[in-house]
Amino acid sequence: MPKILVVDDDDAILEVIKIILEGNNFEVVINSEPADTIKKVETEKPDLLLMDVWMSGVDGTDIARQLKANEFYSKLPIILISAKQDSDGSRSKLADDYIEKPFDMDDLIFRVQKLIKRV
Amino acid sequence: MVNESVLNYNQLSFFGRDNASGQIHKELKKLNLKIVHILESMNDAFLALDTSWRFLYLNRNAEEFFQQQVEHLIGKNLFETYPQILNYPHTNLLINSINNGDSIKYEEFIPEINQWLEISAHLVDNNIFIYFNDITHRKVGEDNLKKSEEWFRRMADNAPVAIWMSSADKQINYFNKQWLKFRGKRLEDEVGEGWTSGIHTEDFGYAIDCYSLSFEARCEFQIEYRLLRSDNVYRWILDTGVPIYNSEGNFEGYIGSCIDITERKELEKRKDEFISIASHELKTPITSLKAFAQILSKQLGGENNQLASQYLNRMQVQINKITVLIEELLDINKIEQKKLEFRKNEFSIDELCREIVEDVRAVNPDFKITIKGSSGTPVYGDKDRIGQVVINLLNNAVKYSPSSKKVVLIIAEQEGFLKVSVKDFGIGISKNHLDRIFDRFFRVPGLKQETFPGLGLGLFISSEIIKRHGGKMSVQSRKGKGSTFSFNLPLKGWKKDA
Repeated sequence: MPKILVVDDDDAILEVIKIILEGNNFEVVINSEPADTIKKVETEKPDLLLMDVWMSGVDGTDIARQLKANEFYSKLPIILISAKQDSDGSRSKLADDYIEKPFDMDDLIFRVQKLIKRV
Repeated sequence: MVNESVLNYNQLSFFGRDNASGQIHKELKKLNLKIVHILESMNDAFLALDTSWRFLYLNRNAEEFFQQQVEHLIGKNLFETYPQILNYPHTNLLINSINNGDSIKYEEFIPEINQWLEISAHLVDNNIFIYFNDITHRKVGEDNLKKSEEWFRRMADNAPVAIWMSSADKQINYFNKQWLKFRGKRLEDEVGEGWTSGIHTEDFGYAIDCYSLSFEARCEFQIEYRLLRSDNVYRWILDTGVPIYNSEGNFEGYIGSCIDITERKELEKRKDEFISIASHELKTPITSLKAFAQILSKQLGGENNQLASQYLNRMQVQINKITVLIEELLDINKIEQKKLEFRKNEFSIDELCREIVEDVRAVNPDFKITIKGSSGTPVYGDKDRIGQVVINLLNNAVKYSPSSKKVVLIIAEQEGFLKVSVKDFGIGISKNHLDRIFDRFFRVPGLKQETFPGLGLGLFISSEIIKRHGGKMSVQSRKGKGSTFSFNLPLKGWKKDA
């Protein structure tokens, strides 16, 4: 079962994404401490990282940038979630995909499955 | 008409010494007569004197001025006859100039008759020629002008706003005290182009272009730019300029006033930031709300529990409405900050409309929404934003047709334009509200039971999106009959960014 690490500082979002993804045959690890994300990636070795951009104290794009620059994790697919529009396209370039809040459940599942299949 | 008395040839002898005879004498007389005609018909008063200031000749205007017939003055000394002339301020200057053989021109106030005269005097061939005319009218006008200018300066200098004036050649030639105090400069530093050194480099090109273009078009302008204050701090200035014309309608330059809008700018920025943060913060709980509702409707809904699925659908419709409202607020914010950006690609308008109509049908199953016509030409633009306009028009059509339940979407191509129209048969809009329908926050006023919820932002945002794609929105409507909202987009030259 593909393992997905979900990082967000909002508990309700974490909970609902966990329910949705588990209902679609994914193993889900949630992390509500964005600062520990890279450590979590090292220990959990997920097949995909689903991460919010705008979290208290931490910028999700910074973590994504660090992971993409890391030789061990550069291949890890990352989907960024944000309330903001990616108006200049810079975020979709940085990550493998970009989802805008409020997203549609089916759309989220579709995008996750697409990236997992590619791996 | 010629002053009869001057026809006496002897009195004319100063025009030419008469030692000629026969034919020459006749010609000379004719010539002199011509000169007298000219002197009599001119507007100036004219007198000819010999070098001892004795009258040789005066025209009718001069006669009127001296209140004396020419024959009573001939041969008499000017200053002996009118000794008061010696008291006038410039008379000595006149005498000296003539004695030196110079010409002179000056203005003199004549207290006896309360008139201003412009006097010019020349020494020609041992004759003194003096012309003068009444310039009282002009002098009074000049005096009034001077007075009103003084008034203006006094008023402008005491006004709490900064004021400038420019001449017809675009150069600014006046700044009031308030401006100079703000800038900490002297008038001579600021006039001409001096003041432009105070404009913030980022605003310079824009501000100067705006000023120049408005100036050439002679139209009013309002420019916002940052200007360096005396304490070396840039302040936001709202500069309003209006062209000025004199009483004959000739352009004379501009007058402008400036106010410091830094505080307003900062408040605006804080408001924009607040709206932006609040809207984004709202999206997170809405995301989980929406997802939970979707999960619930999958688990509870379906055939087994029609009521639950019905309520959950209602919830989702409401959640979508909140989402749209938040998006509208964010869009308005972007439009105001000129940050509305587009990601343009080629796409099919037919396909886009089909997808959207399906979505709108799904949410409004009791409505009959049909598509008429099609366009084979691909559109170049921001698909999501154009889609947003189509959704806005369809949602409005549905919202304002509570009883007819019928909406038609028409796609057509005409004269290089793609035209998409949404026609409803609902409540319609009365004529006097039609031209304001695309304004921000405008909602058709009405009784409480006739009004519909909404912020009144949708059409404003839609028309902004269409405008920025090089197109135009329009509306046709009849109260009680329904409305047709349309937008067009240029088909030619698509690749060029709007």
